[in-house]
Amino acid sequence: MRYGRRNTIYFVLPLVFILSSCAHEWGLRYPPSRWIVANDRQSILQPGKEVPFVYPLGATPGYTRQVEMLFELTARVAEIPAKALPGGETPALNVNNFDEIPDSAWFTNRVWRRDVALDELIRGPGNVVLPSAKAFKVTAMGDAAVTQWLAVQGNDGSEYIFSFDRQDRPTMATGAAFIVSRVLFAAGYNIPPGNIVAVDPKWFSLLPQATLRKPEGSVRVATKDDLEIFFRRTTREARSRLIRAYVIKKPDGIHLGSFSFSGRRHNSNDRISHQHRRELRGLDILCAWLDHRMVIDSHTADFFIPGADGRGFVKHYLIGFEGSLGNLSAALAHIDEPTHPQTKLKTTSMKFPPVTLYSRYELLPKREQPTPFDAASLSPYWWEPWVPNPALWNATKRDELWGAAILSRFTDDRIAAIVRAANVEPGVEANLLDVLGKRRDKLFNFWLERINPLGNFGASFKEGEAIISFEDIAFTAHVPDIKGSSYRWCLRTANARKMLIDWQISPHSVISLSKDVVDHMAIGRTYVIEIETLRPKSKWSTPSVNVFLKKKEDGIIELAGLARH
Amino acid sequence: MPRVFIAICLVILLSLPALGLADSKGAPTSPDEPIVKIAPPPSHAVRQVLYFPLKLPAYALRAATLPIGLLSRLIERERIIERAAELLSNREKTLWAYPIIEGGAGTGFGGGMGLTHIDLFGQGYNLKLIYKNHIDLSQDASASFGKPLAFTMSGIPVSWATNVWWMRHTDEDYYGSGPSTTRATHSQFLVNHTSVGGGLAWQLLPPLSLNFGIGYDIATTGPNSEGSFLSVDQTFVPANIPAFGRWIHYISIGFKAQYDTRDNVSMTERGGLHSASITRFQHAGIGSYDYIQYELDGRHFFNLGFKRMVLALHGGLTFQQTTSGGQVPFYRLATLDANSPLRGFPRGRFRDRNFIILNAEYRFPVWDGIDGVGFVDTGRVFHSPSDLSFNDFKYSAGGGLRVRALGLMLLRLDIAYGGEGINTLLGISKSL
Repeated sequence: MRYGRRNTIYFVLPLVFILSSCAHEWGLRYPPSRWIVANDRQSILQPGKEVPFVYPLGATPGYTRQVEMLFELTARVAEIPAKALPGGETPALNVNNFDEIPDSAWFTNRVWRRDVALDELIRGPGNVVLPSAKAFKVTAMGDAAVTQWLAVQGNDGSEYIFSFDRQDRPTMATGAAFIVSRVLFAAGYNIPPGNIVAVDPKWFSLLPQATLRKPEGSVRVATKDDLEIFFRRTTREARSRLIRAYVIKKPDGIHLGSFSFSGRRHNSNDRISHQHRRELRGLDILCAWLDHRMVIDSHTADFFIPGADGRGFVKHYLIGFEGSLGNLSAALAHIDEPTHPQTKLKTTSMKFPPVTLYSRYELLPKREQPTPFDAASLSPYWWEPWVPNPALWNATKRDELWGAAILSRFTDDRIAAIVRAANVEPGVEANLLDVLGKRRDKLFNFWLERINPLGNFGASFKEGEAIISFEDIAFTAHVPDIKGSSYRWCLRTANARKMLIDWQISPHSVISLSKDVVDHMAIGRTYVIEIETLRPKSKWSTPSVNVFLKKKEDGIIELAGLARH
Repeated sequence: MPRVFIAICLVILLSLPALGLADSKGAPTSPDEPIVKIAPPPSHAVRQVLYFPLKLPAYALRAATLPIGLLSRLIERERIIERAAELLSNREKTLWAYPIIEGGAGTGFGGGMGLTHIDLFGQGYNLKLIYKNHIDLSQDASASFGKPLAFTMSGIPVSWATNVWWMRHTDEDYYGSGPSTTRATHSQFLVNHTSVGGGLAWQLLPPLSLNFGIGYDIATTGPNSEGSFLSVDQTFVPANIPAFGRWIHYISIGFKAQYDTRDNVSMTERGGLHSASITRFQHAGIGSYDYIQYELDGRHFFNLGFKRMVLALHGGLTFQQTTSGGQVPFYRLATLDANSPLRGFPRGRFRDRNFIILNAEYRFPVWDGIDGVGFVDTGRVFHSPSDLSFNDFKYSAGGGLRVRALGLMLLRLDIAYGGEGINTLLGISKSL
């Protein structure tokens, strides 16, 4: 190597490292507003072909993993989560200055942002009103471990999916679908409209090309006998020929199939790798609560919403909740290994990409002892879905806090209202309420002591004095033994050279900056309030939350953002 | 030229956030809910690729330390370190008792106990007691007492401290003085050393302090009572081991200026510690052993863009200037060894009036509570400033692990090689 080139490298490399280490925190890159909207609904061409809208498979479909996975070396082949790799923990990439996520084609802030009334909670993504002329043409039908399903076309052209309870577990699959869809919709996820209905088998007839998908994934043409056997296996309403079902209506738009929990679709709207999206990572705690173990690629749906010129944007949905609330585990309990077809999903019928980074667990979900749906067997740290989920693997404590903040809005009365509306069997309802409450509290107790659980920061200004308020989510979540908590805080310049207010302790979740202090703050300069939380029974204060402040031209103090350690 | 152009583009791309040129923002539709393009910073993807080579040592160490990693995950999940620390401290976290474990570089394995109180009498006084013993029966004990920011002087906060320190090392190592000493002249001696002192520190600015110290020091040396090497008086003529066998009393007065911008004293990721000091050692006895010691020390820590990925650079210079034609006692010569740190060489390896040391250390996360390090050390001793050249520098390199918890480094393990065998160092104090 010539002397000149070597010198260039010796000069440039250290400069690269040093300058990149000087880079500002990502957290202050956006406007200083707590709620922002992502511009991911720009008009683009349809990014894929239309795919039939049917009940999801129990395993991952054959979509190509994105090449960028190689760079991230999340070691899919070795099945090691990215955050377990050295320096591999990546903070969520779609958070704003306040560690919140923007409203987008993925998520709309609801229950964490505003008060959601009970009737809105129960209505959820919207009730499906079936056409008055009840004549449905079955285009596909199938048998999944936890439910049987029909994909139908109404005589008005709308498409629906009906899912039914198994005879040995009446109201469970449909109840789970109802409850979980309401919860996740209230959280902010896009969920297809759906509700519980009573259907008459006479309403359904087969289309000539209708298909039957068997549990192992193989597909053949359905016959009339198949339909009869289908309805014989479902649960009938008491003293009625009607059968309880959960119906979802195909959302508006063109169904493009599932989205992956890793990588991107590579269009100008999809800029963040999915495993680094906060709303997908935050599913870790919500799905652990609901035992929604089918939070996998196949239980998602992308819909392209075209505009007048044929261009549009993609909206991302979660679907297929029948296996939640312990139903999947209960269904697994009836599977005899290794002969049951569910355990030997035939993958030959699926298409594989030429270069696959699938782990064997995604092709053949690992078998394990089914765990009962209760609080005792829930391990907040070790809970994982049916197959490894890259987004959940990458969840950091900040993502768990975000999920816990949303979870804290599901109080006992709200959960009770949703469960009651699901109209499950009486004994089951009481048990569900008890278990959901205990599981929620267990998740709070685990995650909220591992991170400083302060959020909902706000600032007000009155007569020259600035008041910074915040919410201790542990209090909202009724974490036990935290009465008497206090907050240790200081006010300093962002470069830590000067302390405006030295460390002191406040018993309340309010910090007051006097007029003198505010007058001393320079306009346009960034200041930081560092807040640690002190719990009465712990010797350790939590890592600090840094709240960034700026003084505007008019002298008012505004919050510019926050950073969590 | 194209390569330089590409390099400059990379530099600009990576430093875009530092230059304040963040992603473009959408025009707000309302002040409360602006529509914004949400995307990772441009540097993110570039860094993922560029930094892959820096992550390779961590992957290798992971494979080698898998059982430790699994254990550390269990420890982190069950919060075992916090529980252990609760046992070792009082409720207010002001009183700490802690075990000390160390070994390597010639001292042999040893341990001890430390006791620290950071708010004695509820008045902010600090008390620190340490006792250590090694398998060669070498002992160290120290006690310090003081109060940080005790009072102000002309508006400047002042801290004060006093300390007593005693050591009895039965087999200190001595190879002679100069950069070219060999292991053939490896000999040992016993040293009994007591020091009493006190000082004041003015905090001129939060990171800048000026220290003044005064002390009384008494020591004597003799033939080693442990160890397998000959005593120094059997290996060297008396002229080469000045003050051997004598009681040497010193009164010392010194000043030190220190600039400390480290973000964390124990596991620093950013900032630096830079100091300059001058100390006069006035012999208060028969014989001429007066000297002045000048020290310059600078260490800086650069975060490499990922949490816990740090490049630490250190440079140190020590000069000893005798006065009145005196000599520096052989055991007080500036020493370049594993503690300097020239980690590939054992204790007391190179001694002379002056030394220069340069270190580069790359620290990276391996497991949740464990960091890996790779380092290169180089330095040399020299008799007078005119002797300093780029010849005779000694080099060592190696790697190790750092066990960390609660923002502190709990344990250090280093394995280094400097051309004279492999040195394994274990301890609770940090090397840089």
